[in-house]
Amino acid sequence: MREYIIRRMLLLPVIMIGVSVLTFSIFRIIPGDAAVLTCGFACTDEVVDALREERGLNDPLFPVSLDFTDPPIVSLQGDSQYGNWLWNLIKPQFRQIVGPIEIPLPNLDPGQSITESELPVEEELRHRLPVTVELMIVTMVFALLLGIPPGVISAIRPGTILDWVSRMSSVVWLSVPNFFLGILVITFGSIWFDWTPPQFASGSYVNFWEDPLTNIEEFLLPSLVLAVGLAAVIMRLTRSAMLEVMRNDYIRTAWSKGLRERTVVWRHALKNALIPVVTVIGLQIGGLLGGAVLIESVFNLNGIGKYVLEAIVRRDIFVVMSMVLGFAIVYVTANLLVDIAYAWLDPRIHYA
Amino acid sequence: MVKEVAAPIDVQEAATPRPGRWRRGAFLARQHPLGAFGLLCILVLFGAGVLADVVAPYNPTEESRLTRQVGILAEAVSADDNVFTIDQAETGPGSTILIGEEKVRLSDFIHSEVGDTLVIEVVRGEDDTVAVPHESGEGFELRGAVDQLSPPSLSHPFGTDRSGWDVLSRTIWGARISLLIGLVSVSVGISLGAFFGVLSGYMGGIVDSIVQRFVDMLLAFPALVLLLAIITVIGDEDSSARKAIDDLLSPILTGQGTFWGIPAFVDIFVVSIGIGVAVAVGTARIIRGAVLSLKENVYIEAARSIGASSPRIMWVHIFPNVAALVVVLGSIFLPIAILAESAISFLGVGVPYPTPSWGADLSEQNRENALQGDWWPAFFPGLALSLIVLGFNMVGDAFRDISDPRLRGGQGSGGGRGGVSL
Repeated sequence: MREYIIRRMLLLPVIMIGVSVLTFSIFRIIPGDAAVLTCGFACTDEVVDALREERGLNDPLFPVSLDFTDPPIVSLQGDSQYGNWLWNLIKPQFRQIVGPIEIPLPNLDPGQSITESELPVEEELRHRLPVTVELMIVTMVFALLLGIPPGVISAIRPGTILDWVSRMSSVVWLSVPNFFLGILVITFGSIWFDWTPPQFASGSYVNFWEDPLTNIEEFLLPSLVLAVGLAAVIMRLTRSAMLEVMRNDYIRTAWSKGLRERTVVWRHALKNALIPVVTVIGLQIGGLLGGAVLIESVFNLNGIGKYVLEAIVRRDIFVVMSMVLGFAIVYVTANLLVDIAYAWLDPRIHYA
Repeated sequence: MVKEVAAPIDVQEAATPRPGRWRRGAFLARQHPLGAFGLLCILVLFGAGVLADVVAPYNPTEESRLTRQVGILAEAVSADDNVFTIDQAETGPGSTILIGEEKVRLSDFIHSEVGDTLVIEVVRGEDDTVAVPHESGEGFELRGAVDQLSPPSLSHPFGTDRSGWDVLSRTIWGARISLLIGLVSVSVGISLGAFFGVLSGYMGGIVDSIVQRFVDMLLAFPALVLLLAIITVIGDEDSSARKAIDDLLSPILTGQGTFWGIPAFVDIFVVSIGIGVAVAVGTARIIRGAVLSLKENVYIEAARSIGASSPRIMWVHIFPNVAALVVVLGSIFLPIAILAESAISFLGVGVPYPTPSWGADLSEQNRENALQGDWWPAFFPGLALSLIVLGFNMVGDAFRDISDPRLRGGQGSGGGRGGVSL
């Protein structure tokens, strides 16, 4: 067990380096010239050249280069684009990845976007990260609350109207895409209840401890909308796992000892039924991260997802690249934690 | 004594006839009404998509006008006239018509009204509404203004959107686009995934390591984020990848990049390729697992012992055995691909707006209209999207019930890995 965790921990940096190389390659090698991409058609050759020089796009791509001569020559480069990008990400005072862009970019509203793109990524992250993190956490809590109890009830009373209702609603909630559900909530909220979602300017994240009401107003509906799909998955899985577990001998023993139903179900059965649920939560974290991009766009929350999207529309390749790497690292780390939790929850699992 | 031997009686074998295909289908549908409902959703929506040019009442990107005839001009008018007569007038003061190229408003001042003939004075002015006269025999037939944001009615069951486009027609054409993107991306993804899965599983060793580490790295990205990254890269109009796709597709495109009646097909294709790559990653991993156990079979060893080459074994002996799995994976990935396309288009990165895509119809302007109370342009495409995913989920549940005997006997559906979601 301990060796397994240590091995996975040691593997994590290797995966992260691989992921960063891949991210870099996707964005820097496939599309061609990043200077032309950032600049678009509006730029003259001189501007493109200057931009390329300024942002170090003439440097070699990777710090290690391989010449396919006989024998192959491996040489180390001092200054490379990949190395500098990663170094800038890691070293906080050099985090101004987008800082160097000073020429006006085409296709954007000069009023806000340029200043926004000149804000250092670090600055952006400081007030956008809490939004996304809180959205994820509240969503997870809602998903568990809405998923597990109906799943258990539906499993211990199969065939009843309660079971039927929770099964039907789970398949419906599962199928309605979260961004459409968000639009429905906002639209019919405003038509029927004269309610519009609160609009928050960039950087006005309200800490829960400072102003709980505003914070709840901001996060309640987005989290609920994002949570119902996940809750449906959890409910269906809890139900089938519970049905399986309730057939075991030890449950029959518990019944025959005369234990109360509550004890049998919630203490004896649910504990074992939750093991597969944990795995699925791990698998769903990726969906949740993607869902954050969608929901932040629907409810106009200024989180990381919206930031990535704005950067894509602005064609700010460097920001997109860094954020995509960030998403991947969060996802990989979360999966590692879930795997460890899984091994810890279920002593029957042995990782050799 | 005569031994009595029972005479062979001519017995009609009373075997119950094997129920016909249709009857069995009906039986299954009765057993699994939700599955039947799901199948109906899929068939209706995809059927509408395939037959879009026949079924859709209007052109999805053509302004709908209030086609009601509002009157006939008694005689031809020139652009300079400012008094004229309209026969059988259903129009009145305040409405706007077009004379020549100029918009004019019918003034409040009515000169005379005899029977249903209206003599009217016009005022030159600005107005949003446009009326189009066009020549017919004795005079001009007046047609109404662009039918913007009109709520659901008999002539437009789903209403019209801000451009006067019929939402029903757009929803129907959206089904074709979803179907197309689903099929292209799933076939690209499944074939790539099956190729690398079989290769990696059968060859093992260094090939396996390289392919699997690559798959590992791609799986490290959340699916939607990976998709956004791929589409940012290959979707950009200046990128070399986009240009390569342009060249590749140019033979099958007609007119302004139109294919099968769908404009801006290159954008759709780019989105499909992006989704296809994401599908391939998942497929390769699963197929590899199946191949690993498959290649331990004796017949593979036998094939190898008679000197069959590796490509031959993979193609003739391995691939047919995973083909069924490939088809199943395809049916699982199809709704996911459709959802992914909608999500991407909703974010404004996928299929561009004038092309009728369910996801794009949920975004930007339609969303703002919805906020102001005009909910129909965004609602119906979203409903269609939800129904198709619902259909696949219900069919999937029913299929699992039918194929897993442990679940029979009233315990019903709702298990497995949880169904299709993004």
